[in-house]
Amino acid sequence: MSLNSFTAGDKVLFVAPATVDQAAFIQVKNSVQEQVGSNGQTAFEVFERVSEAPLIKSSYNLIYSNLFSPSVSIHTPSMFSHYLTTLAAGGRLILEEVVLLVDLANTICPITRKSTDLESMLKLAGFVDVTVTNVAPVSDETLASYFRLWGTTKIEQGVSRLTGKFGIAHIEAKKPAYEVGQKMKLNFKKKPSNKKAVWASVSTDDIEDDDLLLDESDRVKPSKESLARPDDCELTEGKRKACKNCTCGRAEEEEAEANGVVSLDLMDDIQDEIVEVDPTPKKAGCGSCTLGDAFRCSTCPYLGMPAFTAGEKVALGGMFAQDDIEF
Amino acid sequence: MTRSLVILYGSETGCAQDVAETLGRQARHRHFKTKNSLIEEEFVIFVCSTTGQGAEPTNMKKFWRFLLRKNLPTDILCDLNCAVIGLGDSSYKNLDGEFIPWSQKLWETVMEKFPTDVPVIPDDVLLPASFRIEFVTDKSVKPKPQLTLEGEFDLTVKQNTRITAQDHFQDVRHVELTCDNPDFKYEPGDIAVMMPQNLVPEVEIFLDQLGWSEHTDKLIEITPSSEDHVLPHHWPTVMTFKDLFVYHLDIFGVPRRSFFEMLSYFTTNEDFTEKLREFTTPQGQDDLWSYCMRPRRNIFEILFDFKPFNIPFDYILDLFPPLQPRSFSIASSLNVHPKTMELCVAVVKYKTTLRRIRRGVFTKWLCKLEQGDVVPRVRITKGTMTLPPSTDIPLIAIGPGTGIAPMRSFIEERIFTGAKENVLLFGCRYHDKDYYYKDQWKEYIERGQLKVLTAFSRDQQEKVYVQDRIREYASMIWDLIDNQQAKVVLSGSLDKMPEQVAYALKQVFMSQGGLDAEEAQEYFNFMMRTGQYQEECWS
Repeated sequence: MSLNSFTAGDKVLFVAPATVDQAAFIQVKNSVQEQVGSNGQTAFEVFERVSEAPLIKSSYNLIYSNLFSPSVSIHTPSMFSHYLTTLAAGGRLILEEVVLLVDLANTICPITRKSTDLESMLKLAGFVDVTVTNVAPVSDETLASYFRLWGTTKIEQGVSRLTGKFGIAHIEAKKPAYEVGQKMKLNFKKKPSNKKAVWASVSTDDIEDDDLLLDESDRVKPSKESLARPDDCELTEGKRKACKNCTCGRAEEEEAEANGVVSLDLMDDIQDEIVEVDPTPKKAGCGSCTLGDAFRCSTCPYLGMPAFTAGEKVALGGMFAQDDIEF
Repeated sequence: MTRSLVILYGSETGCAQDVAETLGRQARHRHFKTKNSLIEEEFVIFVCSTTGQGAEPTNMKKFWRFLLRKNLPTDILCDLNCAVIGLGDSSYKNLDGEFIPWSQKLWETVMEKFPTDVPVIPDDVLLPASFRIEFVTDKSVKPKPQLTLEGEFDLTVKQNTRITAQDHFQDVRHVELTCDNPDFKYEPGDIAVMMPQNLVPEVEIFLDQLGWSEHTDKLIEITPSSEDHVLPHHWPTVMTFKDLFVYHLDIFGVPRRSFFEMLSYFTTNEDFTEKLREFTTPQGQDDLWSYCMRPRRNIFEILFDFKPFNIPFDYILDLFPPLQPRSFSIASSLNVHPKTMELCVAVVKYKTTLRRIRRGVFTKWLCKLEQGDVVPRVRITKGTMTLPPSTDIPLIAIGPGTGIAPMRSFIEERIFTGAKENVLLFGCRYHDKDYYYKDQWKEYIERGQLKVLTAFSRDQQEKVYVQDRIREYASMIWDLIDNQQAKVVLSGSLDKMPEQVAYALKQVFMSQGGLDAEEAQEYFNFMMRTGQYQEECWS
């Protein structure tokens, strides 16, 4: 990544995933810090947290997003929205992202976009002068590092299957040189003339337009992440992921949709389970196995079953034995 | 200051109603009299949810429209003390984490403004029961029937058929209901509001587990304990004990925080009581979520985990929430199916971390309905979508999956009234398994009355969705919308689909109309403002 075009006073935001090579990053940051000088500013944000970071409106004139390779991070519309807000009028966004060079016949791949899709997304988010300056093909070596980032084990297989299909798109975009709220004449190529008479004649004169009651700060959408329940661990500030050989059930939880529901077509066995479980509570652990899920620890083998009495055979708890009561 | 306040709630799925009732209890702990209805008052608390894409809930529409009137005097509410809490919709997960601190601040402010010498009743003290439930000893008294109020209709089941292939993972029903009442009317786009019932054998097991079996068939009489409390209008005042749980109480639903608050007064194991109390604190919200809301644990299962308990009968209505009605877009046109209403309903069945399969309360009952069964007290309400203002204006109907329901009502009506330009975009998983009403569409297509664009997401290697079809037929769609002023209606599942469809439409505007992104967005906004684009989606 070559960055030698900074001016004194620039306020620059770097965004990179948590997996970024610390040494490389620090080197770049220091070099930029020198160039922008004491009036300027360099800041850093973790890619995955941009949507919920408290970025102040119009505080940067440059954002460099995801420029360190290898990275498999994908920009979301919510992030672009945040970038737009935090950039000053006329500010620039420079980003990179892995994209598809061709359509994939097999769609099991975390990368689903081409550079044109990214372009559209940026435009729809409100950026102007969106340019794909380059799409550099991804080498097999880099591809292998992607597989490592994705945590897959069959790297050679993956590389031979997907070689040549990816590129890194380098895109630059600008925030328009006006602030929201300023009046700006919209230049329609086609005038909405009497062709729209049918719809334009819909009268709403006696009622306030309730959209106009909102101002700009009201319209900032909270990110999906900030609305979701935070992960249940006080020790890690970020998310806690399942271990590779997960035995506690966290991996299954993660496989399920975000709200903890698994739709039935993803399950092999739709039949209700009648489970006979050894009713002797294990000595290790909290010893609260019989009390019901509200008291069980996260590694309890009885999670998901009702409370029971020690010594009694648990067939999903007596009257829970059948899902449907057949009469 | 008469120390009375009014709590108004705008609630779609019962969440804001639950919050309003919690605030009501908190108010009574502080010696306010409360009414949950609209009267001229000095102090009003507004509890407001949203639905769909941030719209106001149905029960609030009239009031909101009233507030927006330009001709209202600007000082109409200047004497009113009010507090407002906006709750988002039922997908918002951290409601209680936010509500509890807000309510604490609210009451601090309120008590400063309206102080009282009487000490505040502490939270762990149980308020008097809202209702009295007494067993009827007079042998001559008979149970009273439910009241079918004005605007409600008892419908008879004509048909209840599965329309997905037997080997398809999802069970979707086509249900036909008839009504001989000449006042029974609905329009395309309208919604049927129906109250579920619990299954009698399951209720009997519930009563057995609670040790209440001996009372099953006894008659009870329910009376409010003060004028602050009102029984729902259609509840009979005398019914069997069992019927209370079959027709009126949501004992198999997923409860809200207030249930745990109430249950803590009745558990006899101190540790259990403490745990339940913990679930009501801000610090306990994560645990409550993990235990109850995320796995969708229901009241019956929770009671089983927290036995033993001692629930006085009088507190039954304070503890168990009422059954909530469910809304379904009507899938038929009354002109094409006189005296009949048809529905297309997906049976709710899924798995969570709990071993036992989750089933929807309403569809569990719906599945058991047979020809001749009566569905009582069905109400018709207006949906948010309407037909184009004239039969000359084309209609583009986008209704993937069960979103087909209101689209079918529109298409049937359009063809009946002679409107010729109708385009249906339908998406589902497999042509052979869940392509609803395909034979009906085939007839219309052959008669030149309908054009259908389909997207079967799993019939080929790559996924194909309705939004892909929109892009594929960009020039036809642009011509319909821009030159012929076609109306676009969209219905279906709330997840990503509406966003993707809107995005695809905007792409069409850009590629066919030569608009840039900003102009495309403005074009779409114009369509939404004027009603040229309408949507109704559900979660």
